[in-house]
Amino acid sequence: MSALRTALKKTGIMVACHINKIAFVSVLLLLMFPLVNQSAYTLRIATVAMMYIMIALSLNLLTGFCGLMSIGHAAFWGIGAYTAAILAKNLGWGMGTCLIASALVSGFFGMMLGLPVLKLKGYYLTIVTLGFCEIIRMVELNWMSLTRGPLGINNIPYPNLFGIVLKSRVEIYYIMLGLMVLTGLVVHSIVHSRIGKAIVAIREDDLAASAMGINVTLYKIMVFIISATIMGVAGGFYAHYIRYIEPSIFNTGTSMNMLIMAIFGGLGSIPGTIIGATILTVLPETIRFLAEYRNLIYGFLIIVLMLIKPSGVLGDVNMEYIKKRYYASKAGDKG
Amino acid sequence: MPLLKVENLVVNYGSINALKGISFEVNKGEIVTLIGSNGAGKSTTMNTIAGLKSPSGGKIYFEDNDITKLDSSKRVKAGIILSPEGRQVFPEFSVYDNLMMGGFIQKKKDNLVEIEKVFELFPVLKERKKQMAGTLSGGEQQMLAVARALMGKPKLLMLDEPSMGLAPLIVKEIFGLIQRIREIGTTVLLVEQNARVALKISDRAYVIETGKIVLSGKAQELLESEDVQKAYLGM
Repeated sequence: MSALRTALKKTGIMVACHINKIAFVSVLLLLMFPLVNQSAYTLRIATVAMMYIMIALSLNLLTGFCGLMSIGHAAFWGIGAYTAAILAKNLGWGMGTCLIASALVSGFFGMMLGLPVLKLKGYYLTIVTLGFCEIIRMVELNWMSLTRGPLGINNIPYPNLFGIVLKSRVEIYYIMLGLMVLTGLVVHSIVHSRIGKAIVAIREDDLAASAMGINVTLYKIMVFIISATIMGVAGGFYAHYIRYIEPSIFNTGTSMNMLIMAIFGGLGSIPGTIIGATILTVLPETIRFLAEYRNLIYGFLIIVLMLIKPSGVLGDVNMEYIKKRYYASKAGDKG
Repeated sequence: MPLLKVENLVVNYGSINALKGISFEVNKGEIVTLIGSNGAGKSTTMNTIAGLKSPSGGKIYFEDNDITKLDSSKRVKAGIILSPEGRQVFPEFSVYDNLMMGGFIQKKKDNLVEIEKVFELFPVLKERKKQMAGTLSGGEQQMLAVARALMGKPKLLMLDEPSMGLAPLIVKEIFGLIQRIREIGTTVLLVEQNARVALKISDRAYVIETGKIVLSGKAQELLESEDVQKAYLGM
C-alpha cells in the first residue's frame, strides 16, 4: 500500500514538473489522432469531448478560480448557438464571422447580467443565473419569428471557412481542436497573470482582496464576461456542428451537467477540468451497452468520487506548489 | 491639518445603527487607538474608512480631500490600507505571493524593492517565504497580514485587532513592530479590545461605546483614567 503511495507521489511530482510538456505532447497526439482513426463514431465523441472541455474550462475560470457558481451557463452556450445559427442560415455568414458574432453577443449578455448582479454573493448569484437560464430558454421558445420556437432551427449550413465548406468529420475535429487549444491557452494565461492572482484572491477572501486595492466587482464582471464569451464560441461551434438546435438543449439540466464536469475534474485546476470533461463525456458512451443502467452508473460514479475525493480528481492538487517544493528540496540536497 | 478626519459618521446595518455619528481625527505620525468592547462599532469604523462599507451620513477627509464616496480601490491608491480583522491572509498563496498581492496596485519592480524592506522588519517571513500562508502559526499569520498591508506603502495603516487570539508574548512582539512601523514614518490607526497593550504604545485614543465616542484623550491619561480602568482594563 505504501509502495503504491510512494509510486503515486513520484508520478505526481513527475507530472507537475513536466505539465507543459505533457500538454504539448497531448495536443500533438490529438493532432495525429484522425490519421490513425477514421471512425465517424470515435471522431464524434472526441469532438464533443473537446467541446465540453472548452465549456468546462470556461466554467472553471468562473466557478473554480473566481468562486462564482453559475448554474445557468447553458444560456450563454445557447445564445452563442442561436446567434451562429441565425446568422449562418439567414444571412449566409461564414463560420469564422459567426463565431466572432457568437462571442460578442454572448459576452454582451454576460456583461448585461453581470453588471447588476455581481455585487451579489454566493447563493444569490447562483439563483440569478438559474433564473437567467430559464428566461433565455423562454425567449428562444417564444420568439417564433427569429428562433422558430419549439421547432428549432434545422439545416444549419455546414461550417465553412473562407468560402470552403467543411463537411468531413476530420475537418470539424480539427476546428474544435483549435478552439479547445485556444481556450486552454487563454484560460491558462489569465490564471497565471496578475489578474489571475487577483481573481483567486477574491475567491479566497473578497474582503481582504478589496482591502488590497483590488476592485472586486470589476474583476468579477470581467471574469463573467470572459466566461460567457467562451461559452458563446462553444455554442456557435455546436450549432454548426450538430446542425439542428432547439431551446430544450440549453436548459438548466445542461448547465448542471457542465458544472458537474468542472467539479468532477477539480475546481481551480486546468488539467483537472480537462480530465473531468473527458471522463464524463467518454464514459457514458463506453457504457452505452448497459442501456438504461447507464445513467445509474453515471450518477453512482459521481457520488463515489465526491465521497472519496470531494475536491474532484485534481481539485486540491497545486502543481505549481509541488513543482516549487520539489526543486527546492533538490537544491537543498545539493547544497 | 490632520491626515484623517472623520466627521459625524453614521453607519447602519439594515435598521441597526452601528455608528451613531462619530467624529475623530488622526494626525500625521501618530498612533491612534480606538478601544471598545465587542459590537461597539470599532471594526465598522475601520471598514467604512477603508471603503468596504458605505456610510449613511457624515464625511471622511483624507489629506483634506473628501473621500466619503471614493471607491475602496482608489482609497488604497490614496494611501489608506486596512489589515482586516481575523488576519485574513490568503491561505493557499505562499507568503511571498501574499506579500506581492499586498502591492497589487503597484508595479512589480516597486514591489521587489518594497518586499526587501518588509523582510527587514519581519525576518521570520523571509525564512518562510515559500511556505503556504495557511500553514503559518497564528502569530506569523498576523505578521504576514501587517506586512502585506505595508507592501502597499500606506500613509495610514489601519490594523483591526492585531492581538486577536495570540499569546501575550507574541502580542508584545507585534506591538513592538507597530512602534517600529510608526518610526519609519507610517501613521497607524489601531482597533483593539486589548486596551492596556494598545494604550501603552499609542499617542491618543478614543473610547467607543455602542456607536458613539464616549471618551477621548492622550493615551497615558486614559490609561490612568478610572472609568477606563474599570471598563476596559479590568482593575
